[in-house]
Amino acid sequence: MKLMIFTALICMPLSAAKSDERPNIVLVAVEELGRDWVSCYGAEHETPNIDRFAAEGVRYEIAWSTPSPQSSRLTLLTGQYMFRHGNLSLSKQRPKDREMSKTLNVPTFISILRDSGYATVLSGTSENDLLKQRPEYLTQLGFHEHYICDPLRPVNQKIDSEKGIRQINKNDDDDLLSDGSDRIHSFLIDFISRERTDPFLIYYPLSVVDEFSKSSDVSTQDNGSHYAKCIAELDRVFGQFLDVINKAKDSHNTIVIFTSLSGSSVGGNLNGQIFKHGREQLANRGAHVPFIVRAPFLTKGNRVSRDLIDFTDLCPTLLDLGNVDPPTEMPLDGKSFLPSLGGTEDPFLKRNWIFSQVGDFQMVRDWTHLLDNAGNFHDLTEDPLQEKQINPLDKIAPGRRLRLEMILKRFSSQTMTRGDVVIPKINQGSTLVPDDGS
Amino acid sequence: MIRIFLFILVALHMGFAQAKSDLGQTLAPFLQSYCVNCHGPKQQEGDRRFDQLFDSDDVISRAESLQEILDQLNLTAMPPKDEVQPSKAELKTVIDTITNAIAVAREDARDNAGKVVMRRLNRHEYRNTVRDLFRLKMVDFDPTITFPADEATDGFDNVGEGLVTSDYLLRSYLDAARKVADKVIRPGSRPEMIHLGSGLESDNSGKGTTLDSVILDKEGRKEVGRMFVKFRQPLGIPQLDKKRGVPADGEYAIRFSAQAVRRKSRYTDEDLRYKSDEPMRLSISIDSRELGPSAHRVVAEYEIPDDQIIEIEHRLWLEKGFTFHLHWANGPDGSFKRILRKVLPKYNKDALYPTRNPPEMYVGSGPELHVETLEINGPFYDQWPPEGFARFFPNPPENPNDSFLAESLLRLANVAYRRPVSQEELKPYIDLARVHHAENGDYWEAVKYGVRSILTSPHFIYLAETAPENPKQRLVSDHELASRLSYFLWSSMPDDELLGIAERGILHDPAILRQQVSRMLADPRSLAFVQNFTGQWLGLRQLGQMPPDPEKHQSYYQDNLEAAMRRETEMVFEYILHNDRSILEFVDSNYTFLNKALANHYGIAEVAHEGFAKVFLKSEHQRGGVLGHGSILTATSNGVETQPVVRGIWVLENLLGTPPNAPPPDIDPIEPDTRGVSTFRELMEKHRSHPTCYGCHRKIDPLGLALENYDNVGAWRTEYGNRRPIDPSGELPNGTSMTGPSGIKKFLLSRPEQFTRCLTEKLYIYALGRRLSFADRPSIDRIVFTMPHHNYGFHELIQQIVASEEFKSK
Repeated sequence: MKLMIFTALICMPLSAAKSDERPNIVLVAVEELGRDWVSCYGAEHETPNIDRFAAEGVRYEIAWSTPSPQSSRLTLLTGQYMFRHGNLSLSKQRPKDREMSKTLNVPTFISILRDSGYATVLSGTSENDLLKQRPEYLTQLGFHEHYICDPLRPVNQKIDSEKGIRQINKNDDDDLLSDGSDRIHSFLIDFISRERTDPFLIYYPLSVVDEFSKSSDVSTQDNGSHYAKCIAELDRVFGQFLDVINKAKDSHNTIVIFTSLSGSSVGGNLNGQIFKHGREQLANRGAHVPFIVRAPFLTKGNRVSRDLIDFTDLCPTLLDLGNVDPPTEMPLDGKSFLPSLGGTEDPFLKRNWIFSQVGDFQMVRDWTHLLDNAGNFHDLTEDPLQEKQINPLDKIAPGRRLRLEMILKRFSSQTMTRGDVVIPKINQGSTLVPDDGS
Repeated sequence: MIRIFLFILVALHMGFAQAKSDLGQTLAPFLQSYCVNCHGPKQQEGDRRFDQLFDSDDVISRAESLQEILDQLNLTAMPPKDEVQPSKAELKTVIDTITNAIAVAREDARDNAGKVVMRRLNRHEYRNTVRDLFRLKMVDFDPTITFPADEATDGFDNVGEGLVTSDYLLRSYLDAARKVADKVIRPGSRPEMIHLGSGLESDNSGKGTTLDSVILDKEGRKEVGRMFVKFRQPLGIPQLDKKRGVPADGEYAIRFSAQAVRRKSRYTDEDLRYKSDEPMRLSISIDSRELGPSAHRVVAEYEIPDDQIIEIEHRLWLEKGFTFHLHWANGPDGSFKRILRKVLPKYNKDALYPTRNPPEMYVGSGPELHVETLEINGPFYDQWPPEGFARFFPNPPENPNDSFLAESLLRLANVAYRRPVSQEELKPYIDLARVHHAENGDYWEAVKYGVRSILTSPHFIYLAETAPENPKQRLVSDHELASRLSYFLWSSMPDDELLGIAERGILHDPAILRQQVSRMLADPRSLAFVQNFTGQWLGLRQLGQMPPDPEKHQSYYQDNLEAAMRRETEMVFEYILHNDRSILEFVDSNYTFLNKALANHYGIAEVAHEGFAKVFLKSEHQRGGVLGHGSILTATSNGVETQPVVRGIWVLENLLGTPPNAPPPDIDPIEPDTRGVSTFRELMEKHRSHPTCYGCHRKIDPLGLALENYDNVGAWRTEYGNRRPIDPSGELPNGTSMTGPSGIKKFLLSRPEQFTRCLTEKLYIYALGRRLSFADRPSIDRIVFTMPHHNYGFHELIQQIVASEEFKSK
């Protein structure tokens, strides 16, 4: 009911030029960025542009992706937990051709929104080599257009093997020498400023470290200075990108979501403490990512929320914004966080746990405590790096653990093997249990 | 004058003669037949000899012997079982006769007419006097807090004989004087204003972000600048709580905005222990960390509208070191933990019973009282330096000198002693302060020292009246009369106007005296008379000593019925006093003063106003007169059940003025168990079977039983808890039968002079601060005689008492 009201609100005419009044959607997904490098989350490293963006929007304190970017990406696209979408890989190896095509057989929020009338575009760092090699997959995923280019680094010979990219810019020879971000942003300015009746969707993937560093595995040994430089560049590019978006005619009717697919690959400094790297770590820090939403048409922003969010919530939220129902063959594990943006969501409809999975490893948390299926239980407010045992005198913790066990048990019954096993829908959120007629 | 004196003499003589002849006639033959065998010329068992009892004129020693005989007879210890026993009728006559004779002798011994009354201020009077002397707001400042409770004599705690002074009290006086001096002597500039608040703080923090989900710890709340009053937990300004309260005495303005959110929610009222039907109420309390819970006091209450922000400014007086808190007065009862553990799992399948679920799962779904902003400004002063200081220390010179000190202390003593004080008399006190100044060098400390010495002087602490130089000149001086008047009507010192009149020596003029009494009764300070007199005459001070069971009588505590009941009685008293209504309206009237909660309690449905207002009563309401007041009915119960005997004695003592004698020593004062009527009958049997019990209980019990329709908190009932019907009928000693409270009222109204006399006597004791003796009898008689001509007007009664010879003479 509440969602319907929200949707109705969204559909109210905001701009006379467009016949379709649904909001534009911009999703910025950084490959590996934990909260330990973002200053609005308490990190030592300054990220002025992200902070400015956070001040304009709602900053979620507790949001989970998964520790593996690849897995997070699939969850993001399909709105399903890992045991459902089937990619259980934890390794850094890229999905094989066969696996990719299987993934592409399921609908994604992008294809659904495209089919409902959105103009969809992918612009940013290449997702992986496979997409570069088989750009038709991008069409399959749901993109009308794409412009793959690493905006964080100068365009050089090595990266510039952009086979099959539909060049919009006629004079691309001039651009060969220019900065990646300039190129991608001029592409986007062109895209945004086109006359259209439909809303647009921009998916903007970014990678903190480049392909070379990633494959050579430098990142984990980096003392941080290289990584810090990359983050600073990321922040600068993001600032530029925001300027581009803000120039759009109906930027007021545009939702911008900034998040990350996994924790940092190099530990930063959070709340005055040395933080460990999180990427592909089976712990809170692997999945606990920045999550900032700016939606001027829904909230005046400047707020911090402690509402819980995990990556399965993105897909339902974006479909909600696009005012489309998910197809029946697409079971969604999450719930829309649009009601939470207003700040007054009924706690009964709110999430009271979030879940994340990599391989066979599952973990669930509430606002303070974390429990994984290996039996580790920690108070994250006291112990963010999960290094201490719970104090035996703690009176609250045992009860919290029992509750998290209850939640985790709902997942443990699910089949963990990869494949096309039909998995029952997990009840999301809590529902009101009518109690003796009240 | 002489005539009165003669009258007294005659009365004295008659009293004695009467007692003696009665005694002789009844007692001598009785003693001869049953006692003298063993306690006579032949034997003096136990060293007692009764055959010579009527030979001597020594009243006191005879009274002692008579008391012994009476005790023995009451105990049925004498005559011994193996001796000849007197008949019951005989025994009863003798007991009655001796009892009366002793009472007469006792009055005789008590006679203190014409003596100088030296009476110290009781605790209330001391407090009020300090308040009026230094114009202090005695809201939370109470220097008398360590004073021992004052002993009540003849029912009143301002009777000189009972007001003893102990070492402990003396030390308390020294301590109180120091506290008062510290509070009053405030040289220097006006204290700095403070300006604290939650909204202000979040502006200063620079972060500029607000948090929408609630952080439940205090730090979070502070940061958020948006607060919840969670259940009945107090909410204050953290800076004040940390800094131990406001920095200076003064008036402060509290400003806050609040709104009621989700008054009705998905939770049932039973689960939350909460009433969703009534609007949310926010109360303001004053607290002190130093004094702890004893200082906690709710000073105001506001209704908060639903889903609409209301801005409220409240001004209150805060003593240094005090702070304030906001409370959700009618918020969910019980702990927040209980909701998380027991209630939440009923509604939310993700919550686990009975563990402590995350608070985030509840907050935002139940009823909440939001305080959006909260700030305090102050202190504000009407004038600086404060009046109480400027009054005695006006315009202190730049370099304070000894002459200013002497002048100021003299100014103070002139008011504090309630009479003119000469420089000569005060010299030792001034010297004390001078020496202190010379030794310590701190001028204002020396001033404080001087003030302390004046406040601990007997001239301040005692209402001392000088012994008349001429024994025939018994009239009190004008200043003494002013003090008598002000301590009677205000329980405090005379004000400037009264002192001025005393100064001019015209207070004894009847017209001026009368005009002053009217003025003083109209003054708000006369509330002290209302409270202290009703508190003691009607026993309202006993209210709350044995409160009812909180489980069975929840509304008694939730609606604060105790205070409401007390207020009802006080308001009726005030109404009768200020409007010069008939004092018989204490016995029966067709109105009372009720608020909504008390009207509900009484079963009077048609009262809708929250505050107190006059309510007209119908006969079916079964109220009217003090006998229908919950205050008295509750005060005479023991918290669990009614006590008919106590109620009966209460009526005899306070309305009829004929208190029964104490029970004989061999009977434990057991309360009849009214839960089973049969048991009670048995106890009644016991009264009848024993002549000494019967003598008094035939007077007590019918009165107490007639009030059985009121339960132990004063609610009307027609049957006991065990469904046995209540029988409120009875027969009075004079043979008239009566039923229920209306029966008692009819009985009392049939003899108005008896009630008038009772009230007049009580007022006399209170006004004079001494016990009555039968020397006071003629004045009382005259007043009782004239009251019908004034339609029993209460105001007139006070005027008559003030105008009487006793009030004006020593």
